[in-house]
Amino acid sequence: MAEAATAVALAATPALATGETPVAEGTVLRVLPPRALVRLQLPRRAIAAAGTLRIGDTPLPTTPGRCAGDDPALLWLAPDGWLLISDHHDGAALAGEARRACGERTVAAVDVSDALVGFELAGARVRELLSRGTGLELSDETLAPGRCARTRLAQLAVIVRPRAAERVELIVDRGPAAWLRDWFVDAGGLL
Amino acid sequence: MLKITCPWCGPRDEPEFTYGGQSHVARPSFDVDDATWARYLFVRDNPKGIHFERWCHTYGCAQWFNVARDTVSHEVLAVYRMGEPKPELGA
Ligand SMILES: [Zn+2]
Repeated sequence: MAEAATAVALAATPALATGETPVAEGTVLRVLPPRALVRLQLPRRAIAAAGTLRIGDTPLPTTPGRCAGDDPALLWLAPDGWLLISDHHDGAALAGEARRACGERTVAAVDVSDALVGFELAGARVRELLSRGTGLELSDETLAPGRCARTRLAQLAVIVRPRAAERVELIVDRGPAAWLRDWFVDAGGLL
Repeated sequence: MLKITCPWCGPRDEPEFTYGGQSHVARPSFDVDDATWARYLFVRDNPKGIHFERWCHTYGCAQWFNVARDTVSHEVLAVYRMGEPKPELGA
């Protein structure tokens, strides 16, 4: 009986639809195509020199909440942690490049391409929607391209990466990604 | 809700953080008697006023740091990184 219930629950789990989901007037949530995502973590002793490390041609950003580079893009997540994003590399190759660039045996560069899902939220009501689920400051300054923030959004840890005035990228664990999409649909309905 | 200024990320809402108990609890040497060891393990300050405590920015940069908070007003009086000295805040 318990097994049957589990099977029903799994079958009912909504697959993560690709394409665009309208979430509010003039505002859509789009699942981004798969790309290379690498979580880079440096050992404590290497942090002081992190700014001198270059991945691709870009120095690792050491200012909290900043991104650098285009492809790969390097997102500051913590004093010792970054997320690397590339449309042109394969995840394992990007992880290898990061390891070589850091030249440390103890550096952790992990291919998390399949562990995370990227969304793009775009439209006139982006800021309003975000404000329903996060306490993050949503000023023009913090929502500017070149910034990024890991924050609590819809009860989840989400990386927020502004791409343009009314366009933000949201990166979340794959497990609750469908929940985040459904949350935006609900939040949009309540605006 | 508290607004806590993470030493790295800046001001964020309290639900982004995890409380980690009193700061600056120093482990005694291993040869102390049981009563001293038990005090180290289980006894904590419970002040009416300034309390030094650890918080982790779980939903942000995931770093542990220290907060000095007034337990009466909940005002956050100081935020400082692990390893930095406890600030002088008067009584
Ligand atoms: Zn933080």
